[in-house]
Amino acid sequence: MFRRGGFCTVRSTVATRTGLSVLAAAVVLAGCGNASNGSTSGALKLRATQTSFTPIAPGTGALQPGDAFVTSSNIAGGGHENAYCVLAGRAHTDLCIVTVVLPRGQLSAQGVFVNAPKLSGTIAVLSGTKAYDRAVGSLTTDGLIAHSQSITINLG
Amino acid sequence: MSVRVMLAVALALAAAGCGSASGTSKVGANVVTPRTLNLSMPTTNVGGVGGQFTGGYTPGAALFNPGSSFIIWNLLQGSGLQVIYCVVARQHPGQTFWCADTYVLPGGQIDAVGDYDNSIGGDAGTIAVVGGTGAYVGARGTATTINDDPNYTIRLK
Repeated sequence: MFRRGGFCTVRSTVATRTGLSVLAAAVVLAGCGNASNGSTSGALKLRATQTSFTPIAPGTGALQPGDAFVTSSNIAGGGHENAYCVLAGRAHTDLCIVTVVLPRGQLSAQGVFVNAPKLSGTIAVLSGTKAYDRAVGSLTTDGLIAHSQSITINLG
Repeated sequence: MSVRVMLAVALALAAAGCGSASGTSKVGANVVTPRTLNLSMPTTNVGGVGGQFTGGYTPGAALFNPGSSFIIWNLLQGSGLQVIYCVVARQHPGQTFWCADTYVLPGGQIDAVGDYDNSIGGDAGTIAVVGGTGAYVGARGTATTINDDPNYTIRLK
């Protein structure tokens, strides 16, 4: 399967680096929204470092269509990102539900990536809590399961 | 077997042996034009080529026990793609599935989330549109699919 090597690599990387997961990373702010203050408009530029990747599958081999995984990453400056993805039978296609938890509230996103296992692209921000109440927009990632991930959230 | 037939079979299997059972909410600067999108699967859709049903996690012996999941993808006319992931919520009373549905269209993605109720008198085909990307950022409305119908209707507020 196309993702066998990729996932094994990721899992190995996480296992060896989890204890060293504090990477220098910055929250770069742009527009009128930011991770510290919270806003329903503007852009959040975040840096995330993966801390876990857990397959959800009946077997121990490579993930197959219908299998899922959950991955978690710490966000520099505070907060974390969790993603739950399911592999579709179509090649390179995963449906993911992502939650970004920031100091001032949560943001929820959902969408389809068509370049698995990289999982880069843009999905929809559906809503949020607290400072992000009723937020809408988009979440762009350069690789959802990468060890180090850049995330841009455009709100408004 | 076509994908829609497979989905119909899936829902029928789930039902087998079971009892019967305001305006725009958009905030921010982006505004989605209210409109109705009529989508359909190509008539040539066949399982494994233009679409596919895949069973996923299955607790117990039966595929459609509560907690079971499945994912379906369908090609749409005009280079679109639909991916829908569902988890069987319950079988008694009623047969309900929690589903997350994403339409990948040339203008962006449209996301819908909701519950399909396959019970007698239940709402088997309409769930809420909860967001989107590109031309559909902040989309709200409804997405309607009928098990044995290749046509989908998305109504955006």
